[in-house]
Amino acid sequence: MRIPGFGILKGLRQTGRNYWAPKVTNQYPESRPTMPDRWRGRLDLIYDPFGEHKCEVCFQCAQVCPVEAIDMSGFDSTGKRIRYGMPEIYDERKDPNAYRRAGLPAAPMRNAARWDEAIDTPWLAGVIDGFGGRPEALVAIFSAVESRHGYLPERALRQVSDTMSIHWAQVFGAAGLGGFRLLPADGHLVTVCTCAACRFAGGDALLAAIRADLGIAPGESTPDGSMTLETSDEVAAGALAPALRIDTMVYGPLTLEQGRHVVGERRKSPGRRATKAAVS
Amino acid sequence: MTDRSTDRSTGLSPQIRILPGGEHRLLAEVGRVDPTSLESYRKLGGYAGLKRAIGKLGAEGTIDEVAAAGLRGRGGGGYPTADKWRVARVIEGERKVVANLIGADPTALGDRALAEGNPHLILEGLLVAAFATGASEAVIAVRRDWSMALERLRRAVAEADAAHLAGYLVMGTDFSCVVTVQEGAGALIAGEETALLAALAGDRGMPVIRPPYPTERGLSGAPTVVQNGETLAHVAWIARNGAKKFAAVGTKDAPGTKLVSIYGRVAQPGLAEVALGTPLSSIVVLAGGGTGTTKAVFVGGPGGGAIAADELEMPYDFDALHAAGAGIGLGQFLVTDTDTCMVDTARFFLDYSAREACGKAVPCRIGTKRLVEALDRILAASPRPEDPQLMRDLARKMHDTALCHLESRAPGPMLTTLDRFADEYRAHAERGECLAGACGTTPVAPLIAPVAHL
Amino acid sequence: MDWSVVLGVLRFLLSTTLILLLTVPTAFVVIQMELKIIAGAQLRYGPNRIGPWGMFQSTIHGFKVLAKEDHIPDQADRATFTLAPWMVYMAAAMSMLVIPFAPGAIAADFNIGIVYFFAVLGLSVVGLLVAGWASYNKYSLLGGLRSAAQMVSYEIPLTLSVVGAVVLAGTLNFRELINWQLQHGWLLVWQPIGLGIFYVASLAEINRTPFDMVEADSELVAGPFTEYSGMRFGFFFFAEYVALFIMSGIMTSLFFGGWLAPWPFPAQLAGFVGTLYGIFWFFLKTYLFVALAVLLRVTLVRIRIDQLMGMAWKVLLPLAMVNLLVTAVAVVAFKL
Repeated sequence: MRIPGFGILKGLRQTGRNYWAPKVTNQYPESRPTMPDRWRGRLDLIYDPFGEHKCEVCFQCAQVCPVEAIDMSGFDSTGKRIRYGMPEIYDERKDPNAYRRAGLPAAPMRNAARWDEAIDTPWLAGVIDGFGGRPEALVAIFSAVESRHGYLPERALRQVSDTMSIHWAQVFGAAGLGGFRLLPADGHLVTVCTCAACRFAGGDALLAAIRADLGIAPGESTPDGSMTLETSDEVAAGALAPALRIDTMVYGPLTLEQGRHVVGERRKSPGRRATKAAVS
Repeated sequence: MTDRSTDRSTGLSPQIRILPGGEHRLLAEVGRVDPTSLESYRKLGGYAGLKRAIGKLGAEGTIDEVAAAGLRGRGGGGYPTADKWRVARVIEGERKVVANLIGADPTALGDRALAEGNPHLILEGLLVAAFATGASEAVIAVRRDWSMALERLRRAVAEADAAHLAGYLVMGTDFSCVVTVQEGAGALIAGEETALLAALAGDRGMPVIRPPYPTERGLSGAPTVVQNGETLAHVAWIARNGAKKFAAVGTKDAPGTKLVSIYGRVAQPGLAEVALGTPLSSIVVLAGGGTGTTKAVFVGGPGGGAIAADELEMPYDFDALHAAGAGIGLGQFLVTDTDTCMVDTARFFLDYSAREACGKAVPCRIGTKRLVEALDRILAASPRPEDPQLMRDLARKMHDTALCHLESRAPGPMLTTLDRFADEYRAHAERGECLAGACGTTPVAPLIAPVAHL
Repeated sequence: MDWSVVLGVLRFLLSTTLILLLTVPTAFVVIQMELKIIAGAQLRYGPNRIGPWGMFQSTIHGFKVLAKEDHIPDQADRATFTLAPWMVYMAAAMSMLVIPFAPGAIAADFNIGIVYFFAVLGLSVVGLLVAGWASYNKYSLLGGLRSAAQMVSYEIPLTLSVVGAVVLAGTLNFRELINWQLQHGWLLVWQPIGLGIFYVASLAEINRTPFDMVEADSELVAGPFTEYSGMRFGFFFFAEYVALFIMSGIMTSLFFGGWLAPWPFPAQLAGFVGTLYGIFWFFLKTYLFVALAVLLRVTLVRIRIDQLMGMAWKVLLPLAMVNLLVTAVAVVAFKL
């Protein structure tokens, strides 16, 4: 039988119980929650390895954001701010892309002195011309630059971007995802292969032996600047496993002794210096 | 120890050792033909296939011939080549053909061996494909550090151009196809066809969502057929020798042969060519047999899976391997012995996938890292109670929401070892003990090895 | 000169002032109870920053509205717009005059206190109607009309439900009614149906949830209060909570023995101590009913306007009639 008002009583019992039940509110300033390890409390723009914001103030993200949550500010070619916002937060940049967005010819970089890289500008211009300035040739151009400089200097990438009128983001992304070196390596570059074939042929032990010999971890350079050690899956050792590569030469299959010998021998010859003015 | 630039017996890079035995078709001429000479290739019957396709079969006939041969793409997917061509053929536009010689996984040697040992074979297959699909432009995308392959392919294209086998008005007919050789940046993801097309256009090598498939909108918006280098070599072989001969070996659903790179705990790691459907155990024998007691074979590289030793009578074929949770991949064939820890091996492959992830799709970029972390916890004997469920769920989600096949198959090595070697996982998780006795001697590498160049 | 008249006038002025002053802290206390009880029922702590245990939160709210901008719409009728909150507030404050807090603590001990109470309480509907009309806003007007319909409708069962008690006790004076209860037991026992009708109707009369159709936010923004801001809105707001207190107090007096303790009144506690003792029990019971009303607000959802009106005319009114009839028959038959 349904008693009128019984449902109300049941509801009152629930709310009454709740009143005495433990409360769930967090007393914020007094008790602070412990955040998970990956908590990032602050939204921030990403920096590229050179300490520059990767954001180019191109507004593409703002345009596609369905809830219009993104706004930003930057400087246009006349030095006028193109959105209101705090410059301390939204990096202010006057880079060639800003000129390009404004439909103006890209001016040379203003703060060229920031990078201590000397690149062979006329040579690079020639290389780019040789490929006809097609974006499809980016990888080939990068390869040429890498074989000449040992890595892709940012100034070279900037020049590619400026000359070929390709967005810096695209140039940088293609270079980064293409597996090119973006920072110079000191001395000889020793790459120990970590591909599946090398690993199961004793690549781990080889890496450990060379680490011990050089006294550095992968990604580091010896203090005297003669050797840089790194690992890669891309040595393509195949039947030479376990293998290592010094600069461009692949050695394998190596026993531990042979590996240490090869590295020791190559260390005696001078390698490329990653210091200023490698090429004038 | 060697620093030879070529192997004198075959004229190939020293990385490539061709194993005797098996069913040599594509590899038959490698080492016999001079890769730098068109004459030498023609003497061995080269470009007869292109001539037969253009002169006798016609475009439709060529597709029918490839369909009759039952050729399936050798890049891992196993999609029937003729179907792909038919789709591209009916779509209006400046059709293009791309030869994928990016060599996504550096342990797969087949494409490189063909490009270095017999570049004209790939070029001929490319031209046949271009003729059949009506493409006027063809691109050979080669991994940039295969310098010898690049050089020989460029030379082959130049020679073929000069001999009117490629370029304008091929063999005096009205079929024209301009072939270019382009360097591609090497990375696992660049082997994926949409990522390859993006990279060829000078953009970031990241896959794009499908549909539209590249056969509808590919390179510069035109319908594009992307074929693996090995597939194109098979096309050339079919055009020359006919479909019937092609289907003489292999299974009914997957006729023909496949280049297999065998490595790991075998006496003679190297490249072999076997008929599809060959039992896996015979493939291990080709490489001189396992050096220890074979425990499992990882077929298909980072996107494949483990086949336990007692299942090795399984045929090497697309569907059988797929049903077993593995895949044919690019022909990678990693043999492991009883001294190999399966958990650690699964972690290795996943870690490779995590490092090579392009970062576009979130399930892949983050999912692979979380899986590696879960395996790390198991290896450190401190698993969370939810880890087994997490691994299964995450693997399924990655498979369901994948942007490309590299992502959807990345958990494969983990899932197959989880199914077949659950006791090893349990021993690691509960007791911190490695049943293979391998872990503990090999330090676990950091999740993402410090990458000096980025 | 008749000093008793002067004294009477002085006493009236003093008590009226005191009552008027009492309304403000009463409103603060009721609002604070509302904040805390609703928070508790929702598993929150509620205000706990201002003062010990956050007890001055509502006070701060009250002073805050003083500082707010007082805005009058251009098209509004300024005179009535200004008058309306005052009318509503005064209706609530004036009805407080007859509330029997304790023996000797009744501001105006009328012999027709109950009649006076319902008469004055009915004034607030005028204020709401005026507020709705003067705002020149369709939501306000609709809200005002709704308030008129609702409050006039519910006043009938509300009043009729009390008549039974009046018939039983034979008086319209609150003090005498409570004394009757001292002798015969609380009217709660005699008039349970009357109590039920009174409680439901009183909630509707003072526009409490679940009957707050007047300011049904989802339909009417804020009803007649839509255009009000600052302290003018504050008056409406205070009046609402003062009315809640008054209704609870009247229910205590009519059915729960007013200042009476649940056990017999100790004889030695006469005079000033007795007054304090009575005040204690009166406020305890009253605030219990306030708490119950707040708990109902957090428990129940607002009902529809047609259900609301239907209940007044089809359920409560016949029930009140029957209750009155039965009571009257019983009084005659049993010579109560």
